[in-house]
Amino acid sequence: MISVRKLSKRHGERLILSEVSAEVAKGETIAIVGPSGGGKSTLLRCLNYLETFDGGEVDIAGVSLRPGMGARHRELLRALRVKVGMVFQQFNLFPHLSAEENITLAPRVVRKLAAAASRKKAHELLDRVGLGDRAGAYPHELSGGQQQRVAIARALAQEPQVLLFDEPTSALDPEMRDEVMSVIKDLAAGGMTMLVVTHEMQFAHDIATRVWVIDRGTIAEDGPPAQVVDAPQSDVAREYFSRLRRPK
Amino acid sequence: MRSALLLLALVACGGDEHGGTLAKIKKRGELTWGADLQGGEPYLYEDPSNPTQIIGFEVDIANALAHRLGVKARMVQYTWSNLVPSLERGDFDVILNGLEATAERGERILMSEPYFIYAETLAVRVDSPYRTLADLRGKRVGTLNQTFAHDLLRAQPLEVVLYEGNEEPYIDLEQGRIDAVLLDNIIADRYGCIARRPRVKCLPDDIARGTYVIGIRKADPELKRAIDDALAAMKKDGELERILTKAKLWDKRQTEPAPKTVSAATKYRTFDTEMVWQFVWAALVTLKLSLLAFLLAVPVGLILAVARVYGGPIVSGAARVYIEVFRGTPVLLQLFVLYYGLAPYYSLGPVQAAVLGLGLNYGAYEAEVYRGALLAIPRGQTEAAKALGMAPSQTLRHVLLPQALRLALPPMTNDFVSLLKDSSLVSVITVIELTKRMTIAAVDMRGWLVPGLACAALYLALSFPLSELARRLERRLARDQRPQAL
Repeated sequence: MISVRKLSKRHGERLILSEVSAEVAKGETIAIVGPSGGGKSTLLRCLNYLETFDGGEVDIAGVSLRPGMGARHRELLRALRVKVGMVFQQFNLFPHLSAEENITLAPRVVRKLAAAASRKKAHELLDRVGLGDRAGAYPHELSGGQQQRVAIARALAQEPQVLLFDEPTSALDPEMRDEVMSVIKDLAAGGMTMLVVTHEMQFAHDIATRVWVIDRGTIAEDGPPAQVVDAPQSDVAREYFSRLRRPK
Repeated sequence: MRSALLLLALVACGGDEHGGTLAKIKKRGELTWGADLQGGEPYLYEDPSNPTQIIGFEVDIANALAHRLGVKARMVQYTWSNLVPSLERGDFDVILNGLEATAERGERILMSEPYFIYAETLAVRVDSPYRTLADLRGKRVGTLNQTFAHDLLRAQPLEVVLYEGNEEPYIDLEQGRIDAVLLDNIIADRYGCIARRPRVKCLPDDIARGTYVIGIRKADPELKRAIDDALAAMKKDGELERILTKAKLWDKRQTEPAPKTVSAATKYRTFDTEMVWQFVWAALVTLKLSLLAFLLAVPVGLILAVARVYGGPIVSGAARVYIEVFRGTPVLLQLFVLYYGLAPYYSLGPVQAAVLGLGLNYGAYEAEVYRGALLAIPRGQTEAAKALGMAPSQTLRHVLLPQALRLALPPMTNDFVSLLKDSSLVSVITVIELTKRMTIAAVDMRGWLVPGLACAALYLALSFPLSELARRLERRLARDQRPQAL
């Protein structure tokens, strides 16, 4: 489903990603962990080309991404983004639209879905994320956890093949994290291919099929959670996990 | 109102009982005369070869008069339409600036013997059939505000179009925006029927004759006597003829008997039902102009703002040039250019030009409001739309602009109220809106207070419901933007 080969990105002199290579199979859930500033979010955002990169290539959902794709590839990139959904740390719901309208907007204008069909789909998705009764609510009337669940439903409405989560629970209170996490868990169980940048160790441990530890622009460790989380091999992974466990 | 003005005049010239203005003129050795440089050639104007020097036949007459009174003359610049109230207030000693002798003026101020006899000349397009005022029934005839010609036209069943400058009525006549111009022969000979305007001709018969006189305060009969004596002497020894000949104004009319002081047969008006309706109508014109102009300004502003924020260097640079030019130059100038400047190439109607001018100008202001609003939207909104596969145009239309307009609503309301008042500027291109109606009424009623208050009340009546509407809209749209208590 996803193949990353020698992906590099620099910011001026600073190397953000250094020849990252990885493969993700259909239906996998990858937890991307690691210290702040290591390049986790940047890697994720390169996968739907919200960020450009300087070297290497990415094959994702049947689309091939290379450095320097610009205006000429706009249609290709839009098609890619329909296939690769994204959920943001700050939810980024559209504040002037109700929950339902947030979900129906893109299917209507991008995929030209009929209004009735897109509404029906929106209600199904809201039911699925446990918000069937809040279709008419505006974002400011919803809690953070509810907003993030609407944002997930919004991403799902485009029927993506891959979902990217950029720290989906970092802006939430602990009691709201669980409701969002359980939605992601259900998606994983349903076979969705997902990459989740997270600091939630429980999630990485229990739900992910694989865990990537990213540090200084490279994947320092890549393996099933039983191996990476419980018995990390690299110094950076050991230090990272021990620091996460210490406060608890 | 009139007695109040007189009282004001008396207070301002408190020293009049002790010898009057004439004595003061002699004492200070200076005769001050009020005039408006905008009258232009031949009355008084800046010498083309030395613009610090003011010349003209009225300058010559003022100097000759002052010389005969044994003093020097000094010109005081005033807007022509305010000369009479300013004289009454005591801002200068006399008016000497194409002041026509009318019965109404005679009631308000003293008038000297005439120093010039003019004819009201009717100008029409060369191919038009009109020969007399009677032929022009129901047609549009241009003239200057507060002139004898204006009084003559008002007594006729035709539509009077009022101008502020000498060129503009003839430009509009050429363009077919009006059917005739009635003005005195000095203006007609110099601005109307000239080689530069082959499509305009002046009819040979004088529609009426009148005289230019010097205006003097009611309280100064001894000054009037002195001036009349001086004028009589100037006529007798040929100085007046020399002055008028030098200005190419001497004609056989000057040797014929002066016409009697005419009455334009217009009475002072009162604030009656008819005037109330005229005010209401003018308020509707103001509202219509403002609404149409704003309907133009909003899309112009949106396009400019989007070009500024998201356009490449050329597009955003062009938008910036537009904004700077329209914001950085007076809207009055833009209206003049649109209406008169473009006339030879494309002739816009006054309302069209007004809406276009105000709309394009306010578009520049709206652009900056929307630009600020677009920049205030969090980046995450664009990212979320992009990540859903939305194209730039879809993102703008469905995500960014609706949010920007919500943010822009308070400043937009502000701009609209401001536009409502700025729309008064379009009177320079002959549209009679609320402020112009007020100034016309003030002249007709010889008082500013009642028309002024009526005008203010109507502006408020227009702007208040609109701000209230905007306030409600704002509350409905910006549910999530209600302020937290501090």
